[in-house]
Amino acid sequence: MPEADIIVKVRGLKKYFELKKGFLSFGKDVSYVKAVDGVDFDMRSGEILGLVGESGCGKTTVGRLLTRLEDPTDGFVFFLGRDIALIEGQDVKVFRRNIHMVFQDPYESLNPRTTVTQTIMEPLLNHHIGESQEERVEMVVQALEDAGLAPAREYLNRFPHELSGGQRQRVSIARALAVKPRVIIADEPVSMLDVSIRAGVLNLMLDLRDKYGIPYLFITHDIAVARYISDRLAVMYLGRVVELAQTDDVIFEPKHPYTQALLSAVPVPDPDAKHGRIKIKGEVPSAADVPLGCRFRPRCPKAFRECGWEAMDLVEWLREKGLLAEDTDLGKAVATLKPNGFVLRMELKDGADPGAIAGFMNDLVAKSKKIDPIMDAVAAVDTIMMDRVIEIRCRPAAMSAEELAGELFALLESTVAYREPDHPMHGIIADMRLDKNRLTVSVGGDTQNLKLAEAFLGDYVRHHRRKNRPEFKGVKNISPSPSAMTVTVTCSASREPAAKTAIDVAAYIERCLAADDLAKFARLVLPAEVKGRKVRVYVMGSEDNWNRLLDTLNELLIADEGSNEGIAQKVSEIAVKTTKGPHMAVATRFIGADEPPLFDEGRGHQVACYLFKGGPG
Amino acid sequence: MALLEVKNLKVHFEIQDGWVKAVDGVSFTIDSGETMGLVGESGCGKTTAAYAITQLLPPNGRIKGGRIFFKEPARVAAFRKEYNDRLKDSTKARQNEISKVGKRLDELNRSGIDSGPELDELKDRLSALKFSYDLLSLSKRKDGSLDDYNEDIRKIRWTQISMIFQGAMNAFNPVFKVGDQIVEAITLHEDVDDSTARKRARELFEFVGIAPDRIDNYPHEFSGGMKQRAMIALALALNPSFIIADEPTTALDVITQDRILAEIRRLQEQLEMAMMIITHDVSVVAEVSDKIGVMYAGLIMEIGQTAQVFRDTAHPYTAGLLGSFPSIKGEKKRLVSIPGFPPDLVTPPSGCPFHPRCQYAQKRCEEERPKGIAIEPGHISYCHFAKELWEKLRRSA
Repeated sequence: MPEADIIVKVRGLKKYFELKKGFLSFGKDVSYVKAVDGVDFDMRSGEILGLVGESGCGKTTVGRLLTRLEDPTDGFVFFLGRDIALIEGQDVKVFRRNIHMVFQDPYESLNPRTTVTQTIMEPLLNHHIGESQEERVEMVVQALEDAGLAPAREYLNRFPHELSGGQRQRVSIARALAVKPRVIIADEPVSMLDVSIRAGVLNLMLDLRDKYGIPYLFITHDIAVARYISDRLAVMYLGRVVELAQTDDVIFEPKHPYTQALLSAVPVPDPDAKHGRIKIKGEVPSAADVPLGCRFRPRCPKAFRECGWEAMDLVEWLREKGLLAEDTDLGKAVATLKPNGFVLRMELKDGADPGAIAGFMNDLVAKSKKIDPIMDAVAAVDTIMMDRVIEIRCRPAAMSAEELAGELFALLESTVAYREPDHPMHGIIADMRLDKNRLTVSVGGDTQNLKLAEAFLGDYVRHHRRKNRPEFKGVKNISPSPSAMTVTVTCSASREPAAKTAIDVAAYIERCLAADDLAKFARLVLPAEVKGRKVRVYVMGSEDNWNRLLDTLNELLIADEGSNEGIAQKVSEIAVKTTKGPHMAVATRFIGADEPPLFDEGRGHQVACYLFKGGPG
Repeated sequence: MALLEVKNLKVHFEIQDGWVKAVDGVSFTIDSGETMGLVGESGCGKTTAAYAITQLLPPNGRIKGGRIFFKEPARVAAFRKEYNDRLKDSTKARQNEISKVGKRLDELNRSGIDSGPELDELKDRLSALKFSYDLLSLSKRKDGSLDDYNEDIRKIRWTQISMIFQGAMNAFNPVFKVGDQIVEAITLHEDVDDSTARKRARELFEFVGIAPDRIDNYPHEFSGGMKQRAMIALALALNPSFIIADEPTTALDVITQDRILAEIRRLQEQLEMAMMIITHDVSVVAEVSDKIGVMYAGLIMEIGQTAQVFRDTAHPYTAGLLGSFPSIKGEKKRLVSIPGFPPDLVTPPSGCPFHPRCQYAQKRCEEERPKGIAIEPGHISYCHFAKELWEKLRRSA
């Protein structure tokens, strides 16, 4: 599919809502409800994209983000190549004209005090469409007739209470159509309607798509309705799209285990249809506490080694098997369980032998490996000395002007589609070049365009600075040069605070340890923890392992100066800190995994599941 | 044997502009162990019909006619039939018969002779004559309103007939523990102490698939599906013989809905519970019902075994309703919607209420309310032209 056909492009879209807490929890970390957590999809011209999922999966929030009723926490929505987050001032109005919404409840979404004419006329007046009142009335009549309310003259002066539910929803559709938008977002438009009315509204929406080629995002919880209306179907689970393909591919050849379970649960209006049910465990977890790795894993009937099993799963597993009961070996020895991401730490009671418990766990893993995928995913079990820690103190680092300018250039190139005909900077920005710490933007046309380009770049930088994007920190000034017809963005060196460099250092350690010659040893190293400007690292096993880790870190971070992204500049000191001991615990570490991305299975069938990592076939 | 028999039930609501004829002559029977689905669009009267059975009507609701027989012993039913045939509609003859039987009963009671069998028979005869198995005769006031607090009805309600309410989310009181609300229902109706009732509540939780130690949770600690399960546990608390489920899965997600429907099927199989399921979703009914009644504008349009109604559809409204449901099975076909919209029940259309929207409507449909036509045994269509249309509408060839 050529790029030009894409009307809306959604990339890495996230929306986190802060959880309100009582004032007693003052000073604790803020937690978030991850309503939308990394969503990618495209909307193509003339196509109906269905978005289905259970309640609370974030599908409505996606619709609200697309219409800018909410601002995303992260990620981009491009409308005809434009980043919608950057649209400001008068342009917002134009944008709102182009992306229109049809709401769920036709009883709430129409003003009870205005007539049908006034309701549909309002967006026309707001957007200054139509030359005269007569022309606008003509447009209202046309919109009503398009929406199946014929003869339209009969409806013009009615109030919402004089209309039935189906007629009201048709008025909502007429209102959305009147301004001739480029995209319509329909959020559960038929779920409030009676069955005999619903089919008519669905058919109307299909007919209007055929007539005007306006793409819809059709958000619904009803899979049968989604199947009926959409050309492509995206299935959401807990804030992410897990499967996206041509509608009938999703319905008849579902690939993601969640989609399979969901479809097997849909009741069919036919008493003879017997469907094989796929049972899944438990209920949807809270969006404030999303599982690591694949978020469907804890309920998935097909989960295997690579799905990113974590400590919480092991606690659950041990409990299910009854191994934590008071009278078992484990139950007698373990004082508390401390699950932390991919590591489960068992604190032992006084007098318990850590070696024996580590041995017991190792046997358990060896025994259950073949049967239970969760045990197959255990990377290492060993004792761990909790009375010491390797602490890496980090310091603020300077970022060179060249580096910052380079990052800014890359971001501008990837997000500002000035080469697309619909982009507001099309024909204004001709080219962008990077020269050391300077970004030169050539402008076509007259000096008016120069002003526009300057204003655009200014807004762009201001917007992203507000979001704390590192690429924008270095921008010193934006200056136009009328003689050369260029706008120059100059970057200067900037400092990265220690709290930020600590995050870089932790990520760097993770990356280096995953390297081939270190991998075996690295299994024993627990994931680095970032605490303010310090990075803390623990390692399982004996004294020797601590020494080896210290040597390795010294080598990676300090001795190897010059070669590695200036990492040595960011580290000020590596030291072993000891506390009162001895304090021995037992740790179980999992191999860990990132969230599965969407894997392409051919014919545009995308599945976010590690079963399909190998590609088609 | 029919557990519940509803005959020509009429329930109207008084409003400012007149009367809303929510239920206007509905008849059906449900056998013990049988599940009937009552489907229809919103405002068709399906919920009102069900609430009339448990006698929980809003204050402006009036019973305008009909009878509801519940759990009538076979002999009483036989006597009732005998009297009906013999006395016809004459009230005078009935009064005579009542006083005659009453006198004989008094005599026997006073004589002190042990005459058990005859005494029982007389009592049954009196019941048959006075329709005391008609739930409405117990509580109906002169103006047609119902006495909610009638002692006889309160004995039946929940111990014999219980309900799973629409929107389990809000059916529990949020300030009391779920378990306590079940315990309260048990101790109120039965003479048992708290600990016995708690034990039963734990068993019920286990039966519906919730961990028994969660009886001490508050409703907000439950997910939607769990609340609905707890609601089922509450309905089962007193071991009723009949459960009315009002839209039991409407507010739930697909996967949860599927689990609750499986739960309902288990009730049917393990407890041989008779049920009535009220819903707008024909696919839910297709999953769990033995028989179906399709309602429109306060009247039943078609009633029969589930397979009969789905496959051998004999009413244009049923055909329209089934045709407007999209499915995930089979080929994608364009949905056929029913033109127009449901009528206002203050002034329902004359004759067949569906005629203004019916593509097969003729003059007769406007003038005359259709009588039931039996298409097959147990399959009745209320359409003048059921026999003629049947061949056209049925989906099984």
